[in-house]
Amino acid sequence: MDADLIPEPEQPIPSLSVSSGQGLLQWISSVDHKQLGILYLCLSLLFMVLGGISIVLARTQLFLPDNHFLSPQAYDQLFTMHGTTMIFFVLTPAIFGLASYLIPLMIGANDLAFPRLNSFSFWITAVGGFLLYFSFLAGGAPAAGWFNYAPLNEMNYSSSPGVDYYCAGLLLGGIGTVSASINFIVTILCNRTKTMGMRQLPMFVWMVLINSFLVIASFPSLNAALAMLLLDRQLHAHFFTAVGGGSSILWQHLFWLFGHPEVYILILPIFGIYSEIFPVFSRKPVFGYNTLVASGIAIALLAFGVWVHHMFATGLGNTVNDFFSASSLLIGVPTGIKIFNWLATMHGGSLRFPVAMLFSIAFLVEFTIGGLSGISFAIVPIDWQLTDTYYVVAHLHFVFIGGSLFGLFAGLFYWLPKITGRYPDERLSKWFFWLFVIGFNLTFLVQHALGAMGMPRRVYTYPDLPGWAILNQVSTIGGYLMAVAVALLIYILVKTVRRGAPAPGDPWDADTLEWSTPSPPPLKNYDAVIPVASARPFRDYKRPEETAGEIVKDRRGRHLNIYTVMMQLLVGTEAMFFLCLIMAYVYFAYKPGYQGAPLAHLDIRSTGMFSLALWASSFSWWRVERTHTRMSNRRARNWLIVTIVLAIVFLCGQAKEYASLLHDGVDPSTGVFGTSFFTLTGFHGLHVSIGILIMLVLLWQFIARRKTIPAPIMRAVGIYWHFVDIVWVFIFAIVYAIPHLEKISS
Amino acid sequence: MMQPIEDPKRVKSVFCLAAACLLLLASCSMPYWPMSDHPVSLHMVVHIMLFLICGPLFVIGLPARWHRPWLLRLSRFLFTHRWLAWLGGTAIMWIWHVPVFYNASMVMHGFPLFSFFHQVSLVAGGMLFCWPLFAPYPLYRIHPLGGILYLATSCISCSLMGLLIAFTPQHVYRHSGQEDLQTAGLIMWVPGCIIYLSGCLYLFWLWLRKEREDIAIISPINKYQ
Repeated sequence: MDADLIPEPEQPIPSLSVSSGQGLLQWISSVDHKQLGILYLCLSLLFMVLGGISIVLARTQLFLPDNHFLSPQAYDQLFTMHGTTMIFFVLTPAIFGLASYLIPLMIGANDLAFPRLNSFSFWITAVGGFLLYFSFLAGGAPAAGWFNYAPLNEMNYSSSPGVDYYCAGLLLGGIGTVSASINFIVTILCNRTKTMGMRQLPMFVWMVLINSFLVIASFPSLNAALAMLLLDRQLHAHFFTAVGGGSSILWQHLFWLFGHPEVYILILPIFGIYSEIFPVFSRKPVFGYNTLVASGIAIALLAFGVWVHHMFATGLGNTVNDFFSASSLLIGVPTGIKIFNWLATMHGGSLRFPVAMLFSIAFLVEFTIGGLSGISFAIVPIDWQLTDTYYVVAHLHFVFIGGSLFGLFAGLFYWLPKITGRYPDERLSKWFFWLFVIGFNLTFLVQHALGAMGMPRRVYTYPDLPGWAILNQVSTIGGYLMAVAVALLIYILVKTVRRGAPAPGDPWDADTLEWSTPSPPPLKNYDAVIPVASARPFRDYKRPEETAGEIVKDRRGRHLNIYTVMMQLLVGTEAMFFLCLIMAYVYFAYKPGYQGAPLAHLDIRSTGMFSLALWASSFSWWRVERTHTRMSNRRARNWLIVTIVLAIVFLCGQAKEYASLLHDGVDPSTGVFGTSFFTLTGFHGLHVSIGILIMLVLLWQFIARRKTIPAPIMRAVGIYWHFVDIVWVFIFAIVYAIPHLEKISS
Repeated sequence: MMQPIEDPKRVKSVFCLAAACLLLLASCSMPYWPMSDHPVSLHMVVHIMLFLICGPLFVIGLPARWHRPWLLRLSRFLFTHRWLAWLGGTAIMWIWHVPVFYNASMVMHGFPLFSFFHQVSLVAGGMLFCWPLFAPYPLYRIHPLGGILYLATSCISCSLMGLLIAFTPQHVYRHSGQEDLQTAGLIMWVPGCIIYLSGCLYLFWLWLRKEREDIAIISPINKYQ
């Protein structure tokens, strides 16, 4: 039956026919990493057109001073949708598309570790994007900017459902991004060809690996902030409303705790792309492989220590500003190291200049400009002067376009012959390059001047002050040129797929494993993988006479189980999520004027009792695993029942406590205690409930199907369950025990 | 079976232990911090010195002649339960900054026994935390790349604690001024993280060196052609 509905794929790139099982249905049902990678790239292109249209309209509005082409409300919606779309649904899916397509090919694997999870990640991201755009039909798109500051994002100031769609869309996109990152990490760590060690990883794979850790550490903060905002808007909670004791600045902290690492999430994999392209088109190995990896790690770590520079203008105090000014200057160092690495790679090389290389060289110039303007923001007085002006707009576009998008274009033109099996039209591609680069510089270079002259961003029109009109007109004309360039790109892509000259497996005389496959690669990537002795395995294979010193060995080391690693990563990202909720609770608990008086309502003894039941379930689960490993299914089943009962006892205790609080008139809308208490314990309760469901499924497997469950799956469930119990230790300490101790000590 | 113990070079061992003892002495001889102008900042500097510098120095400098079977068992246990070392070390650091414990420590700090316990707990926490990274038995050390992850997650925890302290209202911590509190939180946040980052880069260097040593024992690629 299933086979009739979803036939096995036969072609690497199915058609778009709706009458055949090998057409559109194949794309929709695909779990192949290459097809999903292409879908990610198409999704990104679709949203690039939508986000592009919105900003072309906005720039048209700014073409003349005192213009009324768009209303202020429409303008606000357009620039908000532009920023949100480009960051979350253009750059992110494009990076993840290339990663999904290339990682298995580059490490000698036949697919990602969890192909269905890859499909889930793509489709949930797509649904998130479509949901965001559905807001136009549902009463109005979000209009509070891409970082959606509080309290503007609250119901009192943004009463249309746009912000709710923003939250829902980004939450879904965030879930897709985190799950895809977990998939990438597991694949890279567990599924490499056995002769490929970590030092033989292609630089793109290294950067995706580091980036994926960055994603799973930083996205939970956004997800927590979005969940809090939804609670504020839908249940009248008070996380970000000063009236109920909340704090608007908390939104900024949570958002930029995600938002600054997000800048690196959008650039680290791109650094990996450049590190693939420069050596191939310079016909040299990359200069400083080790320092490139080390600087990537340094950037990822420093990314968590600089976010406050986005908040210099919020009045946090000179002490705070001084520290973050210093740390923000510091992060320029590893990035600078990379730039010198690429320059040194080109130095003395035999250079070729196809479009991929042209974009890479343009990146060196544009990104350096963006980096330098970024460093100027680390100097607090300059930041105060220029914040929320067009100088910021210019800076971030030089980073996101001059850095990330140029890299994506470079990667697209580099790997397009591999993906499609055809060469793009080189002449048209160069036209595209020059149109885009000229348009980009016209649009954004002048915005530095506009910002310095004091033109604020996010205003729908401006007075006819000296110089403002002409600079805005240049900027708008540049924007039109970029729009034309993107239209040309779409034409080039369609033409390549339909009529491009056939490309061989290795069109660029490249170094990494993906080029050892035919173009496009077959459905099953590899029957046999060539031995890997260095970071340039395909070159070693093609030129054995030059590789006498290289060596091959089984480098995969200790075998890691994919289920265990996946669950450890999931638990890691969930831990970050709970950390954000706990921090919010603590932040409110010590805020002046806090009116929680939680001890009046919370019964530490009764909670202690049902907490003991939860912690005891960790022991009983340990017994489940022990008895299961000893092949005693009956005993394992009995201990499993004990675990489930203990977990249900905990949930019942929590329900009783909720009933008592609600009876006393404490609910999420009564103040920050109710808001943060119900959110924190509610999310924990949700995790307990999910754990119970998983255990019920296992019980069903034990009883009804009498199946032996593989030990790694039991181990993975165990990791989850112990995590849920450990989180409750912290919640119990912070919500119950410490206030109790404080009461005693006072 | 006894595992080979790595005996640090005598100079390295003496240097590490001497530096650790000096830091410990320095932290003891600091002005009685509850009475200083910047009590929380000073407290934080002491914490970072003891936990992030002193503890690791003691572990790295442990000479082979101090080897005892229980050390081997401890190393094996902390290697297999590295999450416990992480959690234990991090928890000790967090607990001393929970306002109720911090304020109690301000009151109790006049008692030498309490001061001793406070400082020893931090050094012990630091040793516990870094044991899986620098255990005297190379077999029971985390893989350097895993170690980077170990430190990176701890760096995030340290940042968040610094954040909370930096933005906590003045009245929460006894005898503190707002600027003092901010400085304290920021010391934990920024320089603290830079220490973790340095540790990550050191582990990365160790990994590179280990890979090179491994390479020296294997055969050339042409055998496989």
